[in-house]
Formats: sequence, structure tokens, C-alpha cells
Amino acid sequence: MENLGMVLALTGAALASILAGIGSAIGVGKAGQAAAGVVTEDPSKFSKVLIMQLLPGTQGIYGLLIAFITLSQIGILGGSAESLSLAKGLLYLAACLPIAIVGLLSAISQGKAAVAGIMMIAKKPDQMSKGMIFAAMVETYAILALLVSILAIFGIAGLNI
Amino acid sequence: MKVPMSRITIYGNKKDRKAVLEFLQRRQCVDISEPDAENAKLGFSTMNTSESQSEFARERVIGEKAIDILEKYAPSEKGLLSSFEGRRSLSAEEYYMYVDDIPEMMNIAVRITDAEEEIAERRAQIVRRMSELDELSPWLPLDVSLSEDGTKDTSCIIGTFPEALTEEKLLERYLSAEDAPPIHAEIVNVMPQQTCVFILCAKKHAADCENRLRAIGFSKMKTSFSGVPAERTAQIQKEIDALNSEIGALEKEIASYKGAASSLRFMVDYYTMRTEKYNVLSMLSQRNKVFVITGCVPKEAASSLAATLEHEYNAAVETEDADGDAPVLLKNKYLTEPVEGIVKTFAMPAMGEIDPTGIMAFFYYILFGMMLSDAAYGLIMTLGCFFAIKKFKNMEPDMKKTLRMFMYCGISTMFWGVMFGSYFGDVVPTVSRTFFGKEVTIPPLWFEPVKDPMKMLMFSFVIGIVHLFTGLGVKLYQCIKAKDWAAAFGDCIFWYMLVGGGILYLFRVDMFLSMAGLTTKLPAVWGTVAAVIAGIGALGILLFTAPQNKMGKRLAKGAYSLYGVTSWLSDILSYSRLLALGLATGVIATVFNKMGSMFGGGVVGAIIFIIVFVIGHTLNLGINALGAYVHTNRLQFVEFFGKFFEGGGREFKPFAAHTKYYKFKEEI
Repeated sequence: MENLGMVLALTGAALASILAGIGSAIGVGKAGQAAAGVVTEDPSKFSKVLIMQLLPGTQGIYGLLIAFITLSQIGILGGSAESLSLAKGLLYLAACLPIAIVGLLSAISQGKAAVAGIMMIAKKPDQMSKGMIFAAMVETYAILALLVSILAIFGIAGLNI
Repeated sequence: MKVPMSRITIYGNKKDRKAVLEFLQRRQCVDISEPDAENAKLGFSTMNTSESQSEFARERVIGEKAIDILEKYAPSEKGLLSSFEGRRSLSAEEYYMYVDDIPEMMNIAVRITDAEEEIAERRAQIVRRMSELDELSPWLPLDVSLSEDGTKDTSCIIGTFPEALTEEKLLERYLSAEDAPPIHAEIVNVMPQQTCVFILCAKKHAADCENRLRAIGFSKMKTSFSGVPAERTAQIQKEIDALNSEIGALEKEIASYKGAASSLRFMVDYYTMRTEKYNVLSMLSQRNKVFVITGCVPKEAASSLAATLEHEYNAAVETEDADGDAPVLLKNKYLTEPVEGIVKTFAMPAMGEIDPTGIMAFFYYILFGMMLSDAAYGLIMTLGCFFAIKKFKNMEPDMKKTLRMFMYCGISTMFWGVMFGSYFGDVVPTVSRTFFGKEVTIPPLWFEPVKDPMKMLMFSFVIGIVHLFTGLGVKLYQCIKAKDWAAAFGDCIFWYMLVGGGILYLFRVDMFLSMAGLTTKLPAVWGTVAAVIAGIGALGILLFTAPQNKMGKRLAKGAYSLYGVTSWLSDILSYSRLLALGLATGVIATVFNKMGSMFGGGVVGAIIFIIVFVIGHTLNLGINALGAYVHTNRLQFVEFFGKFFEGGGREFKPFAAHTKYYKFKEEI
């Protein structure tokens, strides 16, 4: 089991992309349903509601970003995979958790805010940027989680354990 | 800046009313206000025009409907970028030509909507015929009429069994009952769920036969139509064909009005204009032979407007400087103008507030650029916007402003991309390594955020502090201008001291120094000075937030305000998104480059790389530009505006023609 460290680190990367990806998929899906409803009434609002639909999609990208940084840090991407100590593997796993969990939940919440924003566009298309801000407020927390994950992962690389 | 406004009062003769209103509508520079209640006492009254307004609105709706229908049957050619094209302007000659066309256009519009209804009705009829055909189809082999009763001595019974049956099986079942009268049965059609049968019996036994048949599951055909099924089917088919050809003719008729599309569009615009005009008409104070218009006009336009009104329209005009609650018109120049739209979506500055556009624009470009921070993406944005502006000269002003804003954002993005060494992520080293065997890198002008995220984070906070302190500075300026000294100290200067002192003190804290990567610790006296500054600030906030209250309440309010220091903390931390979004662009670009280069060098590798490159980077640019836009807005609206700007002014909305398709030149 001397490679367990590598397994844990990869689990972390996988979780980051899986959970954040699921969250974004749910959020974008919900917003998409609402957007389709608006477009049946008024096709000219397509581009506006499309932008709103995209907003909860960023968490998935943050998850991908963390997964990617982790993969290249532990050498799976780039082909120089060495054995990783158990402690370091666990650290990587822990470092991936903020964006994984916050990404999942915040994307779902942001999806709900985006749905409400889309409803607003249906009635008052000129107020669109306010709707975008409401949805973007939720994303702040995903960004904070992303930041912690990034800083932690870069920090772990320098540790000698 | 906010454009200074004048309040204008126009007195005119009633016979010039139409001309004056039309002139004002063309000039588009007077925001007409509700008449003064005082006027009623002087015998002035207003006109109720709501009936005509709704009549015009109804006509406009018919026109719009006709245009939509026409678009369906005879689509006009639209380019991919047609949304950039502005409204076409009409000359006076064209205008009057179109006005003459309006009665005819109204007829055409009504005809088009009627034709559409006729088509819908025929479609419904076809559906009914189709279901009749479905019902008839199993009976096609039957060569007598479905409502056939029989002959003098025989009766025929036509109907179905709810199962698949053969002739023998049917007779066997029927004859199994005692003394069943003889029948002749013919199977017309067999399906798994239904058997259609034709049964013949002696007339005297008809009722008995039917009862017996019913007992074994038979049900009589209930039919609304008579005739031989095959003949009837052919007839229905003919009817459907006729309906279809009628629909074709109607569609052709609608399409034949294609040439009228531009006149129809004019008609919609015309009624829009008239609705607006009549709305203003209802706001005029009128008496016997005179009318009065009150409103606001930008000060610079006031005198020329007054002169024209006096000389050409025989009106008397009074102007005076408008007071604080005048409607707000923003006017900025060059680099700052395009950001006006962003301010407008938040709110118009209220009385006593300055127009934040100028200060905001500078930060807007910086923040956007840092979030996208890729030289190549910036170049694409800049060039794209530049050529769109050059190509579509007739673009609507708001659209043009937006494009200009993104062009400047693109330039800033290029700048930060060069600083951080990002060109399509790491496409230069990737391509040179994969296809030319030798790695070439473009070193960043400053540093690479991926390699040193802590440095980038610190830099983001510095930008944030500058941004927030600038916002607080604007507040200070507004307080001083309003001579509100208590607020100037309590809300601004003491906050500078508290937050500034706190930040300075950080340079004595070991943890902060190691995080920021600084090695020199400042002398102890620095810490003392910083702490004293912060302390004075805190005390000041405690005492001077609500100086007009009694001591207890004053301290309580001060303490509550002091609690706001947590919001300063979260505001500053919020700027960490500059790092996060900046890294997101670069890392995702790198992912796509890596995916593209996985297939190695050579021709096949190059082709795959190009495909992945184009799709991947288009996606990345789109999603990150959207992210940068949204989050730049957020930093401006929540963090920056939170420090000084509430808004709530009324936007200057001049009496004008808010048309959809055409612009009307001055001289009409």
C-alpha cells in the first residue's frame, strides 16, 4: 500500500471535479428549464437568458481547475508520477474538499438565484444586470473556497513530509 | 459628470400646439413633467388622451402582429451580425411618402392577420378530416354504404367485435346459442384489437339477431357519415387537398405583401410616436387659446431651444436653473463614457451625489483586465469590437458604448496578459515543444500568478484597498461639499485611520509577513504608531458617528458602526476573486493546450491541435469574459459603490420618438 498517498490525492482531484461538476450540472439544468420557458414566450430574449443560464456553470470549471492543478502537482499529468507519502496524499485530498463541497452546494443555490433572475428578465429585460449580480453574489463563496483550495495545494507542494 | 439642467416653461398658442410638440419630439431634449397643480386654479385644464392612446396602441399591435406573420412566411434576409446594425434613418421625403401609405398599410396589416387566422382555421379542419379518415380506414373493403339498412326482406347489421375473429369462429359462437336465426357474416377487416363485420339476416329477425350478437361482444357501428367507405375516403381526401391548396394560396398571398414590410414597420413606428405624443399632450396645461409645457432641458441646449421656439413657433419661453431633484443626464468623455451604461444599470446618482462614472471607469478596465489577463484574448476582444464599430457605422449609441467598453477592457486584458506572461495560456511553449522540438517561452514582464499565487493574492488585496479607499475618498468629497463635517470625520476620516492603521500594523505581524513573503520586519515604533492611528480612528468612529444624539444612544450607534469593520474585512477579501478568476483563465487555457498536444507532432497532431485549440479557446474566452464582466460589476456595485454611492436619481428621459425600426432626421 505504499502508493496509497497517490490514490488519496487522485481521489481528491476526482472529488473536486465530480462534486463541483454535479453542482454546476444541476444549477445550469434548472436555469436552462426556466430559460426555455422564457424563450417559448419570447425568442428574442435567448441571448439574455443564455448568459443567466451559464452563471452557475463556473463552479464546475473551478472544480476542473483544482483537479487539474492537483493532477499536475502529483505528476499524473506530465508523466513524472512518483510515489507520494500517505500524509501528503491526505493533505491533497483535504485541500480539494473546499471547492468540491462548496462548489456542489453553491452551484445549486446559484442555479436557483439564476432561475429567479431569468423570471425577472421575462418581465423586465432591461434589469438583466441586476439579476446577474444576484446570482453572482452566491458565487463569491465558491470563489473563496476555490482560493483556499488553490493556496492549500500550492502550499502542500513545498512541504517535506 | 452630471449635466446641469434648466427648468423650462413654454407658453404657446393653441394653434401652434401640434407643430411645437412635433418639434420637441424631434429635438429630443426636453423631459416634460406633470403640470403644476397651481395651474388648475388659474383655469387651466389637461386633456384626457387615454382613449386615443389606446387606439394608437391597438393599431401598433396589429402592425407588429402583421410584421411577425410576414416574417414567418417571407423571412427577410438577416445577417449574423444584424443586431449591430442600427435603425435606418429616413429623409423627410421618405417620411411623408410613408405617412401617405399608412391607411393602405393598415388594410394590408388587417388582411395579413385575417389570412393568418384563416390558415389556422383550415389547419384545424384538416385535422378533423384526418381523424375521420383514420376512423374509416378499417372499413375500406366494405362496398356498401355504412348506413345501409338492407333490402325489402333483409337487414344488414354493421359493427365491430373488440377482438380478432375469423368468420368460422364468429358463426360458431353465434350459433352455439339455442335457435339462433340464421345469419350471413362477412369479415371486413381484422386487427388484433378489433374485427369489423358485415352481417346479413332476415328482416323479421333483425332485432333478435342484434341482441344475440351483442351478447357475444358485438357493438353496432355508430356513424355520422353515410356512403361507401372507399368513396367517402376519396371525397375527404379531395376536401383535404382543397384545404391545402387554399392554405397554399393564403400563404402565397401573405408572402406577396413582402414588399410592404418596410411600410408596415414604419406604421408601427408611426403609431409608437403618436402614442408618445399623445401621452405628452395629456400633460399640457391648456386654456382657451394657450397651452403651457413645463419640463427640464440640459442647460447647454436651453438657449438655442428657446430661441427656435420663440422665432419659429411663436412661443414664449422661460428658463431657470433647475433645483436638486431635476432628472439626471450623465455625460462623460473618451475613455470614461462607455461605462455610463454600467452606472445606469445600478442607479442614477441622487441629489448631492457625484456621477461616479469617471472614477469607476479607470478601475473597471483594470479589474476586468486582471480577471481575464490573457494577451491573446485581449487582442481578440479589442480587434473584434474595433472592427464591429468600424463596420457598422449606423450602430445605436448604446450598443456602440458597450462595444467601446469591451474594446478598452480588451486593451487592459492585453496589458495584464503581457505582465503575467499569458498568451492563450501557455500555447507558445506547448506548440514549440510539440511541433518544433524546442521549447520557447515568453517570459512574463512581471511574474506568473500560477507560480507565485501568494504574491498575486497580496497584489489583489492592494488593488482592493486602493479601490475601496478611493470610494471612501469620494464619500469624503461629497461630505465636504455638503459641509457635513460630522459625516466627513465620522464616516470617512476616522475610517481611513482605523483601516489604514490596521493595515500598517500588519507589517509588524510575523504571520502576515511570512504569508506575504516579506523578510524585513519594521521596527517596533512602526507598530506603535500604527496602533495609535487605528485606535484614534476607532475612538472617533465610536464618538462621532451620531454626534447629534444623546450620549448613550450616541455610543450605541457608534459601536454599531464600528462593527462595520468586519464588512471592511470581507470587502477586502472579496478582491481575492481577481486571483481566482485570473488563474481560472490561464489554467483552463493550459488544459486545452495540453489536450490538443496529446496527439503529438506531425500533420495529424497539428490538425487535432488546431481543432481543439479553436473550440477550447473560444469556449474559455466566452465563459471567462462573462465571468470577468459579472464579477467586475459586482466589485463595483457592492464593494466600491457600497462606500459612497446610493443612487436614486431620476433618469433624464426626454420626449422623443422611441421607435423600433427607423430614425427620423431633424428636419422632418
